[in-house]
Amino acid sequence: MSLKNIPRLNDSGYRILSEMADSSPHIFTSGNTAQLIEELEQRAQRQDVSPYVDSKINLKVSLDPLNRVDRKGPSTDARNVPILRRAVAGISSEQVNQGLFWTSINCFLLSPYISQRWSTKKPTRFVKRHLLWMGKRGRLWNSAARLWWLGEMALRSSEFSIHSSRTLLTVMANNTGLYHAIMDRKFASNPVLVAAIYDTALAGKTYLLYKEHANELCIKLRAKADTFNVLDYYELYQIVENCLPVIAPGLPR
Amino acid sequence: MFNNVLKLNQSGYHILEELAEIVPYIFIEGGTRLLKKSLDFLAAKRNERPFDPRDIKLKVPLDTLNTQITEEGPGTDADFVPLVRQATAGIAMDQIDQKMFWTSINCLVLSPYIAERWSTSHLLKKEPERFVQKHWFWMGAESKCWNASARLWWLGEMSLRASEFSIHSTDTLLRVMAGNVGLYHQLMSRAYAVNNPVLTAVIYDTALAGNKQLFQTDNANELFKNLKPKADTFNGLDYYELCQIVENSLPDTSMRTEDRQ
Repeated sequence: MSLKNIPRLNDSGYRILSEMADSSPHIFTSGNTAQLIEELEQRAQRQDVSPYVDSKINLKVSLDPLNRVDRKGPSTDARNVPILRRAVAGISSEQVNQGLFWTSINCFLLSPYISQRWSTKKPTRFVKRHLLWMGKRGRLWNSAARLWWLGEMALRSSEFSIHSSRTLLTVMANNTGLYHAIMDRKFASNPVLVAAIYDTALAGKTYLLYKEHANELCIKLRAKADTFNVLDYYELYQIVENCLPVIAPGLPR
Repeated sequence: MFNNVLKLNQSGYHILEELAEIVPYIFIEGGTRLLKKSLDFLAAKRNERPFDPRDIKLKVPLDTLNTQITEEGPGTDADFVPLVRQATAGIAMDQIDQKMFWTSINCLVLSPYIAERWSTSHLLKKEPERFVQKHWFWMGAESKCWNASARLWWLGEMSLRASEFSIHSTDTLLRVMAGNVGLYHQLMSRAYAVNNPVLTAVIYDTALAGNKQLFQTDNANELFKNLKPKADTFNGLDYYELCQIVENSLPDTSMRTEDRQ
């Protein structure tokens, strides 16, 4: 199989993978792609279904560099985002939210990367979170999708931020506390607000990058979210400034 | 709120289209107030509602374009793009009805800007109805180049998307795209190019690397004619492979970078 041409899962294929996640998650955690494909195809044959659609996913660049991970955690994410974004450049907005698309990439190309990047102590949860698709939260946990969304959020907010998309990407990727707190809220779709939040954090309020403070900020912001759609950068910046969390003793500054 | 714009519905859109056919100069010379009055009058006469219950909410007011435009032609386009982008930030253009959205903004906010921007267009005197259709209304994909507000949004979108893969910044790409509509319009009329930001980046990087002739409509057209037979393969190609293809598809061998060096 070419590294730039991979099969695209259909609903049956996805269902079989979900079953495999429950019954034999170790196949995923081993990082052995050939074994995973063999098992999927055997199960599909037994059920007399095809696990793939006819058309393949054509990637523009190979995703092999992602599989060269030497440590767990987010330290390689910012490096990997541009590779993944180049590979799927031009992807449609429908595909972006399609579990089948991202799960195909995860299972057929990225399982070595994924099993290195995250802890596999709870294998079923690991597979469902990082290889399969969990609806909207897939943007945060699905391995390939989250890299794409990191790049997208950085690019979209760079249009309004005082920082470059590269800076924003590095900050977003290395500080998942704030990133997850934002992505969990509806107002994540407002690039001007995202820019205002990161610009505030980078202007001496780095404590916002921590989960506890980020959550407090987002809870305060949520109360005013109805007005965000008609506010410009400076107005939003002011609102973010007014919603800064109170730092309790013992919490990181 | 002053950033809210009434959003046309199907019936309002039809009434405005009829007005454009019969009295196009209301759009060109009448300003937004007279246009809105005429629309309200005709809608009331037909017992119809011309607007959607939900307004368009802009983040910054766009009527500033009406006073800020100082010259005819594309000279101010790149300066106005950020304003339109900021006003509509967060709106997913592939998920909304672009036809109603942009036509509402053009007719109810930007009429004076549009009239000034294309004030020397030959179409204005020859076929004013078509002139209004072109810049105020939505006529499918080509409106991304001609619909006054939509084209500013798309200029920003194309430069932002391409900047992710280009060696040039978003701002440089924006100014080059806005200032050289010959190449930009040819690119926007090819779906395989519009949907492929890597190809867009490659074409502009090639043009800026000493192939400025590409900015002329004829040369750009020839480039895309040469690219078309290979377009099916573009989705699986990376930046460097596409660079090679674009270099090999340049209209005339004398234009190729390597030949000139």
